[in-house]
Amino acid sequence: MATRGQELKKMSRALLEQVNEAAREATVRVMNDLAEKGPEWSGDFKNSWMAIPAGKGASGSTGGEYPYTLDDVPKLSTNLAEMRRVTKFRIENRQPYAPYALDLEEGVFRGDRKGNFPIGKVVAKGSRPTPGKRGNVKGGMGEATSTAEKDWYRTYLKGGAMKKAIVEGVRAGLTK
Amino acid sequence: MNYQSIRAQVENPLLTAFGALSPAVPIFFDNITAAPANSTTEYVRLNVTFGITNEPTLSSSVDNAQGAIIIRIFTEKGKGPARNQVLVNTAVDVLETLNNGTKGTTGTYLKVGAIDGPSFSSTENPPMFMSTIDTSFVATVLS
Repeated sequence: MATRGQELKKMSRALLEQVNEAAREATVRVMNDLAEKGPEWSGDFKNSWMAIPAGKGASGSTGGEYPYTLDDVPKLSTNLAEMRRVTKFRIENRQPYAPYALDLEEGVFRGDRKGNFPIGKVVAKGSRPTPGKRGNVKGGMGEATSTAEKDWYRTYLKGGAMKKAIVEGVRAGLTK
Repeated sequence: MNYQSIRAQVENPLLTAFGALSPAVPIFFDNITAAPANSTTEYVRLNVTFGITNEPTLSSSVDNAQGAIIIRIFTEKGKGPARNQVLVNTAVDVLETLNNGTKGTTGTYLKVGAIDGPSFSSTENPPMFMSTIDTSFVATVLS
């Protein structure tokens, strides 16, 4: 049985590039999903997703803003050593408060000040424990506002939506 | 789609397991506001979230749903992780048991994925030591 390296050696450069394009397409879809499903108060968090190549030899810029396109995802190297890499990209949000926005850490959140409203859709209003998780907003008294469902990030990762985005992205990348 | 039956598949065994401990540990589900606001006694929170429902299947009589199960366990702060980890064990045992179910021709069949965690923090107010575990699930409702 041929090893992965042997299989890669048989592939033409064009095919290797297509595999990388599929990875980039999938990455763009995941970044846009994260932007759409995540919280949106000022828009900074939504516009701060970036794809960081896991290996060496990538070219092009990373970053950009929503809606993300292929121009926001670096091109990957077709070097065989890099092609063997299972992880192609790390998708990160560059905002320092990302762990709070992802509902991974508790924080103390600023209240809803007068004249300062979220630009995103509000999904919950009420009170939030101090400190507490971003999405832990309960109805009733209080001025806390949430613009993404509680545990939206875990739900995206584990509820099948990310897998679906990757499958669709790879399919689109391979059929170009 | 019978979301309620899927939720029950997760909630019921956890309620039973934590209720069987001595002393029993209260567990609070989604949209239950009775979590002890100023209590320093231990308790558990369970959130069941749904992701994708009904990806194409071969049979129209089958409903599928995917989602995440997030369990947060709160114990007394400043007393070390031992008690918290005992309660984590209880939760993990229940999650693992969920995978022992056999698929019949009716009812709801649920399987969980890899369990992430526990991760610990101690910033919850009131001052508690908190651990979090989470996992994915795939449920099939057979009719």
